[in-house]
Amino acid sequence: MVNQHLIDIKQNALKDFHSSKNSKELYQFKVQYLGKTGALTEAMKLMATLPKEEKPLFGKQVNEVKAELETAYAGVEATLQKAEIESQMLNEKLDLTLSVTTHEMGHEHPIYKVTHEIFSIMARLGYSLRTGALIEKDYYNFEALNIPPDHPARDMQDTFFVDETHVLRTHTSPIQIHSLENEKPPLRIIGTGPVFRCDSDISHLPNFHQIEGMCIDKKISMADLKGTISFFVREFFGPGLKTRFRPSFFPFTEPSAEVDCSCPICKSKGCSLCKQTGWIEIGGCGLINPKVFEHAKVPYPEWQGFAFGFGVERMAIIKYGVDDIRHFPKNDVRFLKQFSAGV
Amino acid sequence: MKISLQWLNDFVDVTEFYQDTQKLADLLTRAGLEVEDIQNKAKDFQNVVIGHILEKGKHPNADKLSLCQVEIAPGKVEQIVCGAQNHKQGDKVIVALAGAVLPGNFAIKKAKVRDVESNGMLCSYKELGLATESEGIAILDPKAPVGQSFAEFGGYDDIVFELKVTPNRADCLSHYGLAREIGCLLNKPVKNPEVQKKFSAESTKSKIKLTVDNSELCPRYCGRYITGVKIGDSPAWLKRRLEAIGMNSINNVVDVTNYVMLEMGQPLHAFDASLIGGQTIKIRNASPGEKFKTLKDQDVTFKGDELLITDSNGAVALAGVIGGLNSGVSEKTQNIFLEAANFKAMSVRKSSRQHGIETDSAYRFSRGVDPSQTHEIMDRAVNLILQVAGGEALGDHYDIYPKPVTKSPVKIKVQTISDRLGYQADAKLFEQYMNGLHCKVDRLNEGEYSITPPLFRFDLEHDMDLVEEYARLKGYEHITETLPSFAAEPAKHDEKYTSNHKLSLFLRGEGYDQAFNYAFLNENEESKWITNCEVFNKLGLTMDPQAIKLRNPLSEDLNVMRRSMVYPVWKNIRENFHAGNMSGKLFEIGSTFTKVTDSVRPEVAYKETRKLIISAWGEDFGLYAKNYPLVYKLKSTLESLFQNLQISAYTVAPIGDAPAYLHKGQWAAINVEGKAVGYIGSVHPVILADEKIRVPVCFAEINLDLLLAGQPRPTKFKSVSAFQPVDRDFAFVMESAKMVGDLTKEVKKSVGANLQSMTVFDVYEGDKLPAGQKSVALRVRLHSQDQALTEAMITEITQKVVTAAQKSVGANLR
Repeated sequence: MVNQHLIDIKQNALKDFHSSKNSKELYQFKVQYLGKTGALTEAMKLMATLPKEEKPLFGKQVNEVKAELETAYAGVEATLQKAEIESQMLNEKLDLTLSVTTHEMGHEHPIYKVTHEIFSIMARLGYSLRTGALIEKDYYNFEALNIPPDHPARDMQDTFFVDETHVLRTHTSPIQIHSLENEKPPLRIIGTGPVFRCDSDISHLPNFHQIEGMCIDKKISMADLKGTISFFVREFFGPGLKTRFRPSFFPFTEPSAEVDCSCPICKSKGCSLCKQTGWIEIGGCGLINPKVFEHAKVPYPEWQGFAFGFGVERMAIIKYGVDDIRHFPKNDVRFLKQFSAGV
Repeated sequence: MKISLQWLNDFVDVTEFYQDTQKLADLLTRAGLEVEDIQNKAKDFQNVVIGHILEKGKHPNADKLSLCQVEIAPGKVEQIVCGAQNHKQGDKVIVALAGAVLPGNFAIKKAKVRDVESNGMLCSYKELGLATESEGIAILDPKAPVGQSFAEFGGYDDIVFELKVTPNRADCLSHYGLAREIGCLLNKPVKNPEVQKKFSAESTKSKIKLTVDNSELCPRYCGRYITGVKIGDSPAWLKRRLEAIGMNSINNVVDVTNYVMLEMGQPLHAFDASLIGGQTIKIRNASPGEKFKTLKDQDVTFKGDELLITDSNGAVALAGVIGGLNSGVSEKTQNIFLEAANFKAMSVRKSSRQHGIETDSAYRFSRGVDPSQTHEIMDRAVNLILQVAGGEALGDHYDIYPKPVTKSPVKIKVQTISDRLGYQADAKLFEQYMNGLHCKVDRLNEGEYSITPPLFRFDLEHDMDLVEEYARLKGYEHITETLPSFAAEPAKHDEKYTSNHKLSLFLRGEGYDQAFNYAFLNENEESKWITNCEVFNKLGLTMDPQAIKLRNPLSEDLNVMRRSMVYPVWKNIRENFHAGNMSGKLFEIGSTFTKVTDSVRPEVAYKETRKLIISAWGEDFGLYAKNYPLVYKLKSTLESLFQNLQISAYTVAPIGDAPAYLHKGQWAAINVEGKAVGYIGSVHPVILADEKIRVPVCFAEINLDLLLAGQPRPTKFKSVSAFQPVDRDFAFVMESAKMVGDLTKEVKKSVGANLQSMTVFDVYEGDKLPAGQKSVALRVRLHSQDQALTEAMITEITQKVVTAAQKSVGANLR
């Protein structure tokens, strides 16, 4: 027969446990009944007053009640805690439709974005990049590139002069000469950076950018040049684009060609960008003129090569549809923020 | 260059292209002569006809309008409302009928004007695009045939091509030259102009005594005397041809010289023979300081190396460039001396560039004129002068040509063509092309030739030039596409480029947009900002007192190379702010320029220093936006950058002089590992106020050549401590004027190897402290690589920190 006192403790405890409003209150009851000075611990002290033969049974009953209460406690605690976390989350609710101040990434200037894209494409073909000086010796800008003094080809490039022997480079081609002089062929070089021409109007900036490539090897043909440029055009503007060569003249190449690609905007159907022709002029190219090798003291025809060059601003205009070249040096953040990096 | 199709047709049959001009344009473009524009006046004047006003009445509903009955074809009458006042019944006028599209895309339709039907428009020259101003409608010659198309009547039935002739193709700078090229492209015969050789018994040489002193610069000189010319207007055919390609008619003799130049590519000059002093001509070099007035009234002082045509009084022409005012043909002229000469290209170009005189003659000479045709072309001009101005040409002309120019043969193998074009070239086809180009072809061996190009092809000198001719005539579309194989090891990229790109990635991550500014700017504007270059040199921002000037700037706005990055970016910010961009962040990486003066090498050289500028303006706006003094935002970017570069030994402190444009209380010099590399600061409040910029603006400018030397640094692994770190917080009280940086520097030093990190988490000044004091709260995180820190060790470190704080800035624990 169970001790009535134990029965009372148990029933009171269970009643209190189940009536607890929260886990904190529940814990108070746990202390009250099961704690070091709790009712059950106190009841244990009664054991001393019991006759010897009743002691084992009483002890067993106390332990049974204790176990029963602990189980009951755990069950109630779990239920209460679950409800409490639910309500806590409701209280901590945030409105995620709300937009707060963002940390905006900065943007690469479209000129450098295009430069880097072109560079990355050509790097896959083994080209390595060179930059070079902006104030260049007349010799490297002109003579070494087969443009002698008082040659009409100088008229093609309106030049800024710094002094008798220095100019602001009018193209990135001096990079070719420095590379031919200082490095050993075979070579694959991409040259890029700012260039300067004494010309400013709706379609020209006096300080703009070029990117050019040079390939020097034992046997190089126009087909190699066309294949390389076609690869570039497809990678840069998109697959399916065609490349067309037209005869032209540059003093540092022979044969020379202007490069057109089929218009990436209208897919050759004719639009304002390609002036309804379906083709867009993107740059110039050709096989390196033997006279250039002569100036750089590279033996020809043992070494042969091709070179090509593009205007970076023009590439950006074609690629992004920028309507006015004068946006580039203005640095209006509303313009710059349009050129996201993407992934 | 403009080319008239009708004129071209004098020499080669191009009639097949009248209806399909694009076909000819494509042919020329494919051959390297890019057609930039085709003007077809006949097309512009479609449905524009000659009309006859049969009746001119009043418009019933408008006083200022007239109502005309106009015969627009024999027997066909249209009613037209007209707003002009200058016409009357019986006038012949120009009528644009429905369907005509006038310049400015103005389409003529049948319409009602104030309820009265009008079936066309009576045109003024302005409306037809033939004049910039005109009063009233055009009234034509009473004999003008009714119904004739106006294009035909006015001679506007020509088609004009605008060609971009590259500098190597001087031979195509004339109608005859282009005809010769088309003849080759289409395998068509080319006609030469007929030249009559009837001259009087009188001698040119007896009239004018002529010597050539410098036959190096004047390889050939031809001259003929013509007596009894009558200067006047040119006949209509001559005027029309010149006008068709945009050249104004001057008088009959001058027009002929221009005509023959445009026709044959040989510039000519007619002197008034009576104005040649001493009746003596000498072709000689100028003396330095010698003076001359051009026929366009420009004063020229010669440098001394120009070639001149002179008489006994001095220069009468700058050879190949322009004639003199003293000897030109005028209405009084009766006798002329006609010059057709060949001058050295480089000499003419130099004279022309030196004195800034650009003429059609100089343009042609500087690209090259065929010396073998000088005499023939002179007599072609003589024929035409006699035809349009009368007179008599004298015999016994001058033709001084001491060393006839020859062309060296070029050896070429067909195999070379195949190798360089990447497809199999054909020997027969090669021979055919070379013959078509008027080359002398000698076959040396199977597939091996000696080719002598004609004298007019200045560009054909080497085998590669002939390779290009083959490719061009065959068509560039035959070039296939391959990728070259590559035997070499790819080289390294330029470190400047790669580091710039990485830096750009970092700064974009920090929220800065990349800017690009011109490398040149306005000297005065920059100088207002850069007042003392020594201040910048001390900050590590290399600079000369004088900016490098351009000899020929585009304008004064872009006249020197920049010395600092700051001014262009300041301009960007100013424009951004005034365009309504209230906040933003910009960075630019670019070059600034200095002159290198080297006493050992007297030669001038220039140095480019790579600099970075970062800038910000305005405040973040929005929910939870965290705003604190803007300059600290820039500073935190710099500190992240240094961390990225594995640089820990740096100071940012106001040491030395600040650039004048910075706020005196908000600036600091940046010193990295013992070197000054730049500055950071807010813009001076007066500058902001002057420019009406109502938000803070900050800059940091850094010499990247200095900062990035030795970058990237190798990454080396350090073992990660297995023991828990311990945080200790300190609150120090110190004088407000003392720098927190001095405190933290010493605190870090005192902790030594046990320091994991140190953060300032509060700075307080206010009521709870005595005036002039501030409290600085630091959290120092301690760790050890090889043991758990004991209480005793922590106490020891704490003591060191307190001592260091006291010693460095007199700070005491609060």
